[in-house]
Amino acid sequence: MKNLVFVSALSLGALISVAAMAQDATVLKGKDAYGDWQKDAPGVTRLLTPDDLEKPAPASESASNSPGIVERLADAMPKVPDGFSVELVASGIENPRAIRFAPNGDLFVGNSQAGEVLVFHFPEGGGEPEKSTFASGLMQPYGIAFYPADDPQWVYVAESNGLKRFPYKSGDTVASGEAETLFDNIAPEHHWTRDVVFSPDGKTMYYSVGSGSNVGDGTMEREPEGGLEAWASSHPLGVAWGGEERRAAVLAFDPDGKNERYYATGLRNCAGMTMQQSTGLPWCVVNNVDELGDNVPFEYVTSVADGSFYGWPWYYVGSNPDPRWTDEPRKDLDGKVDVADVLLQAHSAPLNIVFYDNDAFGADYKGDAFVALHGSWNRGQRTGYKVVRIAIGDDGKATGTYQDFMTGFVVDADNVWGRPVGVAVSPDGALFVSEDGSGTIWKVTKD
Amino acid sequence: MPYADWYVLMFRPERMIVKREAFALVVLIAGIAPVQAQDAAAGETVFKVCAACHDIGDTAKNRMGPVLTGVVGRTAGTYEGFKYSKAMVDAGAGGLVWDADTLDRFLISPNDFVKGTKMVGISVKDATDRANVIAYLSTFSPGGGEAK
Repeated sequence: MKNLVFVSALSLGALISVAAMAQDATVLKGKDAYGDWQKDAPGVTRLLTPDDLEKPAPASESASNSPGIVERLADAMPKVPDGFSVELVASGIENPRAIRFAPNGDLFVGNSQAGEVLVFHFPEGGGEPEKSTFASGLMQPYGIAFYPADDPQWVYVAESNGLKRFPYKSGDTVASGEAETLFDNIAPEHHWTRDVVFSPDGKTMYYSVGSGSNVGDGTMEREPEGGLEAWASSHPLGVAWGGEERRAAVLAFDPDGKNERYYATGLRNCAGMTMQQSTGLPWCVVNNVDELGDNVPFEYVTSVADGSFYGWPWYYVGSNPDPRWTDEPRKDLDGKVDVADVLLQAHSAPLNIVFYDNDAFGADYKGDAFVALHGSWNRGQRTGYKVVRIAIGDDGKATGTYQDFMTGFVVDADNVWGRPVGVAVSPDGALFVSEDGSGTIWKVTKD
Repeated sequence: MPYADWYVLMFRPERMIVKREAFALVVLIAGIAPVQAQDAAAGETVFKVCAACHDIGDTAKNRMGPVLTGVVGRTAGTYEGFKYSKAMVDAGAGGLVWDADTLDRFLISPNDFVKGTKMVGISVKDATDRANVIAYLSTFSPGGGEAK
């Protein structure tokens, strides 16, 4: 009885949260939630469940539909909900990817393909931000973290092949000394974005590594050397082999880069992570497999528990077998696949996530998360290319619904000017968004 | 022409001939040296980065980027079924054909070489990596640019 009451209270909490998020809008469900850029607008709310998943399409129906990138016209502005304003903060950046605020309010930007970390300092009283190069000569720098969190002594920079940390004191806009390489033995090919976050107690460092392939094609044999049974009994649940070892996973380390272990597996490409302070759980945004059709499988946003397994490359969205592995199924893993907290439309390409723990947007937004969707190539009608808000209940758990928050990056069926990548919340509660189509950074504030 | 060359041409024509032979030798060496430095096997490793978006081989499919089987010797923007940018189609219509030289220049900075290409935010910065990956591409392009 006690359990029943608890469950009911949870459901009620979820319902209230969904209602609050939906405001006047209805929640699009199932096939109605399969939208594209033409149906996107701030406020449009969606809920997908594992039952909504279609059967995979034959490979011949797989779309090849990368966006054309056109220059942003000066008057082209992203759309945000009524009551919010958006302004351009910076432009002309080669490849702005993950963005993170230092505790003092300086914005650090992983300018990945330029091999740099940039810093934007915002002068008191407003005016143009001052840009400087914190570090250069890096290998596809992406995720950035400050450690220890309250008074950072280091800036951690995740590169495609490893992790470095630079000495740091508040106010530094150029690294004051050489980087210390904590490790540089991660395979950098294919999915190259690496992210890094710390547990609230500062004792554990999480480092996400995407897979080296779409679905294990060309990187791993159908069976590991020595046989499946021996492999499974000597590795944590769901660890892949061959070129996929130490990939498609969240690895955990001590903050000095030692004591490596698997934290979670089967995450095809956790392209961005953040820490939920209230639960102490890292959250991942995950790009799922390609070439199974326009609507299969869902991508996802999820809290990630120690020892969890999300299926890749053998399964997706729970125990749905990937057709590319049905000749060599992992029967031993059937039923052991975790289902993500929030399912996103297929091919959305979520790249970064941040929790909104500020009061500036109002109580309704506090505790929710924002996720940047880079946008599709493997879908007939373009989807993604927006920032969505993830509904989180008072218990810190996702309700499953998500809502368009920032749209307007798509020009027409063939072209876009913007591809959102990074999301970060400034100390005064503004949402910053980077996009690497035109190379700009935007700031969203509540009126 | 610099004054010294004028001098040789006017007053010491026999030395001009020697000089031209030396020049030809320099060209020959310059032409051979990069070929010798190219390493298709090393290029296969470089291509693992490209493989995130591009497929290659007999059964290759268009993915995020077009199939690269036979790219060396192909007119830009013409692989069947790929939705190229207008910029790339126009470049091909304007005569751009992929060879070791044009691929090298493209890979240094794609969006500077073909302004408006869909291939943004990615490049091959290292000259040796570029030479090697082009050598690797050539092995999938019979007659298209393979060193004979």
